Amino acid sequence: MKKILVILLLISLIFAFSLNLVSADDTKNTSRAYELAVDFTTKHPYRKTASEEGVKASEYIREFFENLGIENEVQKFTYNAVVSDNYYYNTVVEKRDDQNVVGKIKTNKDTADTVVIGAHYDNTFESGTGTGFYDNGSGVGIMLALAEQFKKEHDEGKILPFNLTFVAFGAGEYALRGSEHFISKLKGEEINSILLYVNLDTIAGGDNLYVYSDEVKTMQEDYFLNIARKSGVKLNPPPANKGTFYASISKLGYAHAGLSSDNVSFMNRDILSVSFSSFNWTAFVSDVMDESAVHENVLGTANDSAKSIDEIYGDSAKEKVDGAYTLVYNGLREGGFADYMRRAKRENTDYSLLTSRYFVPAIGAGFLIIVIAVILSLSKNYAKKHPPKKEDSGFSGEERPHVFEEFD
Amino acid sequence: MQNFSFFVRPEPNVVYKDKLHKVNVWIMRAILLVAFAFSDFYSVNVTIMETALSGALVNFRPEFLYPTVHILSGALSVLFFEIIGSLYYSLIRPLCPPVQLTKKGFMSYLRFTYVLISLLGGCIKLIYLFSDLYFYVFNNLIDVVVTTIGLIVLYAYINKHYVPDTIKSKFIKLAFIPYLTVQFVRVLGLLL
Repeated sequence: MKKILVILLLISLIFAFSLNLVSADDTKNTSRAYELAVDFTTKHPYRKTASEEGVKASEYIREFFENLGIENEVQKFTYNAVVSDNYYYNTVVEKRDDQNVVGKIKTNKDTADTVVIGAHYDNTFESGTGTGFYDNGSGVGIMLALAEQFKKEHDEGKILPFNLTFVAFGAGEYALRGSEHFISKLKGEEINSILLYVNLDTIAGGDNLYVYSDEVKTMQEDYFLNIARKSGVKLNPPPANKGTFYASISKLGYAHAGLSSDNVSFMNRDILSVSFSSFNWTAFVSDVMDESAVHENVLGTANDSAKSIDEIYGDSAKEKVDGAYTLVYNGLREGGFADYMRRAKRENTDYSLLTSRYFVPAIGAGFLIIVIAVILSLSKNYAKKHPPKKEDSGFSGEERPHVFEEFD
Repeated sequence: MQNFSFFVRPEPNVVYKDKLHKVNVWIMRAILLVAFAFSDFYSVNVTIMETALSGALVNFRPEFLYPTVHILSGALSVLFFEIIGSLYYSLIRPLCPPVQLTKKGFMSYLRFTYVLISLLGGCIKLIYLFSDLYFYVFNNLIDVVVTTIGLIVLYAYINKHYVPDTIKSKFIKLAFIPYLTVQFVRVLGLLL
């Protein structure tokens, strides 16, 4: 009996040890997207919107495209920014120069269909903040890894049946001016030829990887949820309670975690989009912003660096970065992608009436008219039940008091 | 000495038909604060987040202020409620002097009604927790509909118990004129 127990113990120890060995091996297996994100944020930790360091960071991305042999261009733009020491009392408007970096891989098919993959490269660097690995070095890393992979396959003859455009947006942290500029430069037919815009922003921290597409369920959201199931990637649709707040950046007049990135600029022009991010949506609804239910907040703090994210989130951060990369790659490589997105464009629920400027006021006015009718009807009913008595004031006719009698 | 007593409006001979007025006014105000917070759960800290998004103060995240904003906004709502309720009474009262309800009585009814309105509105808004669709703008509509229905019930109740038969018809119309005027201005504001 003792022998059997000892053998069982040995077997279980060996089994447990082998499991540990497997997981230890896994932790060493860092992805290309993660590596590129670390490299980018280590070389360009300070890339505040419209700064000289920001220009250098965009140059890194342009050189990356150049080295891969991807056709590229730098889009320069200017905008007015509100800057002040005190938002309420000392508002100053400043003219800023910024730039997007665009890379293109063209298909050999005779089609203008294009998929745009974008991520903003600027960060909100201030003294005391990190290197912006989470926001948005991670998105840039994934985009560069995708560009590298698709270009490699393109050169090997595995050509996609549509064009690919990669855009690193400037001023993503200032009212999405970079993506707005990118779209403003597109002609009508170019906008119509965009099959899908894939947004990559803030993917590393948080508890889950999310995909957001619109204010209703869409076909493109379902598409990526299916790809996630097939690929074994944990992907969540947006929660029903999105923690909405008023904001003017979206044409909807409000925003939430899904409506806070460059995908909004594309949505405002009715272009199909999906946005991947990984911080909790409750961040905007609770008293204290909580990016994660488990870990401390990282965005905008000294902990937003590759080292700290690695310490705080460990493999979870790598899983999310790898997950987003896998989803976009597998999604675009799936047969029938272009046809599906064309169909999605036609068949997605059109809710524009609900958000039109006149819809809610019209309902409100209609309701108030009904209320007036109800009140008048109530009043009429009371009058019918209790008809007013005739002349009960005592101040009419012959019995009027003679208040001026003594002066007569 | 002239007798001007006929100029002085006689105090209404109040006969309360329920024990509502006996609840401590501060307890009712505290309940009202909780009800307002429940109803407005989705719309707090809106302004702060917009400043962060517009890019003016990208790193402006006064997390420590959020609980204060919650309590302050609720307390301010109660304060405005008290002021506007009193003004409303002062406006209606001279137009319908025979209404047998004091300001204290009117306010206790109004507080109770608004507690119910806020709780009902908050419950209706909970549908967003289980829905795929979230259009924030519908929150305003839900507020207007629930508030209007609540006020119709309140004024119908006051009309039944505190208003002489001869002016019942007049009172219900007068009571709603200020409220409907404000609501129409709101609707026009949405259009402009």
